[in-house]
Parts: sequence; C-alpha cells; structure tokens
Amino acid sequence: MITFENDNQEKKSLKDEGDFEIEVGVAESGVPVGEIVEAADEAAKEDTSKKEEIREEIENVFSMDENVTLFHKGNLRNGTSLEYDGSVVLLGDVNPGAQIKARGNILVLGAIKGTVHAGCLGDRDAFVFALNMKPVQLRIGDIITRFPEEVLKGEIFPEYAYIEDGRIYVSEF
Amino acid sequence: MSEVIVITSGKGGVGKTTTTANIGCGLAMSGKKVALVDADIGLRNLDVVMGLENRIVYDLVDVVEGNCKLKQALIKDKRYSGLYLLPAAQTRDKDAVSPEQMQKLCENLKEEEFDYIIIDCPAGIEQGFKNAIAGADRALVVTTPEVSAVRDADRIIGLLEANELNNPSLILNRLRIDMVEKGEMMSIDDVTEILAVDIIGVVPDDEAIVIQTNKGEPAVTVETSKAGQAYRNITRRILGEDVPLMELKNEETFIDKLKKLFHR
Repeated sequence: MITFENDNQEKKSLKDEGDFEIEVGVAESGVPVGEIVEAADEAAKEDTSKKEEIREEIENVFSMDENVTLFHKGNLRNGTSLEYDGSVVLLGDVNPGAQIKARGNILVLGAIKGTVHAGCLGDRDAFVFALNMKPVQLRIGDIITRFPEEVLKGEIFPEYAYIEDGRIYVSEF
Repeated sequence: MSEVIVITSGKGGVGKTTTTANIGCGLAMSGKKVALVDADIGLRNLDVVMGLENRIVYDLVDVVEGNCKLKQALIKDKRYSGLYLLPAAQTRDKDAVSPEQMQKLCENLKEEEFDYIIIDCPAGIEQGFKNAIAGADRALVVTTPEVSAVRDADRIIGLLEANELNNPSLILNRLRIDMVEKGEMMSIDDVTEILAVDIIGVVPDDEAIVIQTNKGEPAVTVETSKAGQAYRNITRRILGEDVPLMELKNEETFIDKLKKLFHR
C-alpha cells in the first residue's frame, strides 16, 4: 500500500526509511463502534430515516480512508513521488518536480513547490494544507488548478485549499 | 510531409534543450505546426524552459503505456498556436520506454499532421539516447567550442551513422568571437575540420539566453538578441532557405579604438 518511488524505480517500504504510520481505523481506535451506533439509535428513535442517516454518518467516519494517515519526515526532492492510500502529513518541503498523491487529505508542514493531488480517487471533499502554498499545480479530486504568477512570488503564510461549487479555492488559515 | 528531427550532443550542458526550445519556437513563428518531444525522462527540463511546467497533466510515459490519448498529453504553447509540447515523465527513468515504443510514438505524431517533430535527446549514449534517435529522420548535433564537447560530438556522429542517420547537421553553440580572435578558443573552422559535417548554424555566447531561459521564454523571440538572430537563421535553414552564416565580429566602438591606441 505504501510505495516510495525513487529514480531507480525501486519500491521501498517507508517504514524502512524511519517513517511511521498511524492507523485510526475501527479496529485500532479502541472506540466500540456498536455502542455509538446504539446511542445514535436512541437519539433518533422516532425518526427511522434520520436514524439511518446517523448510522451512515458514523460508519462513514470510521471507514473513511483519510483516517489512515502516513507521516513522512524529510524533503521530497525533484523526481520523487509519495503515493498513499489515505491521508499524508509531510514534515518537510515538496520541491518542484516532486509529487504527493493521496486518497485523502494532504498536510505539508513546510512548502509545497511541486505537485500535490489530494483525493486522487475522485474525492472532492479532500483538502490540502501547507505552511507555504506555492505549488506548480494543485489537484483535488478530478479538478486541476495552477496558481497565478504573482501569488507564487507573493507572501508566505499558512493556507488551505478545498473545493466549493466545483472550483478550487485557497484561503488563509 | 512531416519530419522528425532529433537534437543531440553526447555531452551534457552544451545547450540541447535551449536549442530545441528556440528552434521549435522559431519554426512556429514561421507558421509551421511543431511538436516538441522531451525524451529526457526523469530529468525533464524542456517544460521549464518553455514555461509550460504548470500545465502538465499527462506525459510521454502515460501515452506510451496507454493511460491517455496522445492529444490529451500534448500541451499547447501559450504564445504560438502551432506549437505543442509532449513532456517527459519526471518520476520514472529512461527504461520506462523502449526504442520501438518511441518509433511508434513518432509515427502517431506524424499522423497528427505536424510539419516538424523535434526531439530533445538526453545527454549520454545509453538507453535515453537510443530512445530519442529511434524514430528520427534527421539529426542536429549541438556542440560548444571545447575539446571535450567536440570529442563527444564526434562519438555521437559515429553512433548516429551506425543507426543510419547519415549527414547530421552541426550547431556550434556558445562561441565567443573575441576569444577566437585571441586564439584562446577553437574557431568554426577548427571544429568543422575535426567533425567533417555540414554546419547549420553558429550561436554566439549571449546573456539573453540565460535571461530568457530563466523567464521561460525562448531567446528566438527577442529581436535584439544576437543568439536569437542566430536561431532565427537556423530555423530558416531548416526550412530550406539559403542563409549565410551571420557576421559575429563586434563593431569596434570609439572607446575600443582609443584603448587600442594606448595599448600599443
């Protein structure tokens, strides 16, 4: 599931590189899912449709892939690609020519100067956060955007990108 | 009838990518339909030099592997309507494509009715070079007036001939006429004597190249640049016009004359 491609096309497990993985799935979370569903059932006793809705919502929360997150420490240099079937947190920079592709959200505690693709299987609810958002190209779900020249040369502050009405918006965090 | 031209050199850093971008732009300025193909998989630069990096969605490897259609991967230039770029993949390496696949790709590009298909070859003589020349009809060899670059160009010309790409044309890049006059640099004649191939152009060393490359706009578009003029001339020669090599000698200014007088 975790692949890290370098120039030689060798696929290494990121665990060998000193990275670690946190899984907050149904099994690992320690939260007894059944109890929560029961509590929700009580709250929505009268309305069966609402009950169904809440059940669905809770199940969604616990089965969403973005709850599985990869933490990676280090800069991604030109030509490297970090692909993950969940969300990615990067402590470092994404240099021009490097890319992150994640099924969930992407948080970069550093600068994005390369290409990032959040929700790469088409999830438009995914978001991208960076301390310095200057990507060559930013993709969320099936939408691609590129930044105007003056923004790329402009000031540095934390920003996040998300989709609204089928467009990618970037806001100060 | 479309022609596939590969731009190669053997040695790195002599100006293959710059030459590709400038000739491509020059041909598009003359109203031709041109496709630039970056064959330097893993170390792509042509998109940066052309200022089209942020428009890449699919690349050459995606086309070859059938992940997308050729038309989807071709990026339309922002300045000239007849100019297109097929970028290389960055997170892969040269082994991702084979010479046969490149040949097929060139055939497909020819079907798109391009007048010229220009391939930017990577440095070296390995897989990347073999891929780049596989589908080519004609080769342009770029060299600088340095012993090492000329030596590598000679090797490349030999390899091209072995692959039935006969009579490659030579581009002598980054010539400094003042140094040649002082006898500190190889002259045009020195180089052509060693390589014994037709010279299609001489490009003088010019600051404008660095400035324009960093801007992502090829120097051929700059009217006042000497290197730009040299590339415009090369373009016209590719189109079959008979253009004499341009005069590179600098006009002596009044101050230069004065300096000479006092140095005697």
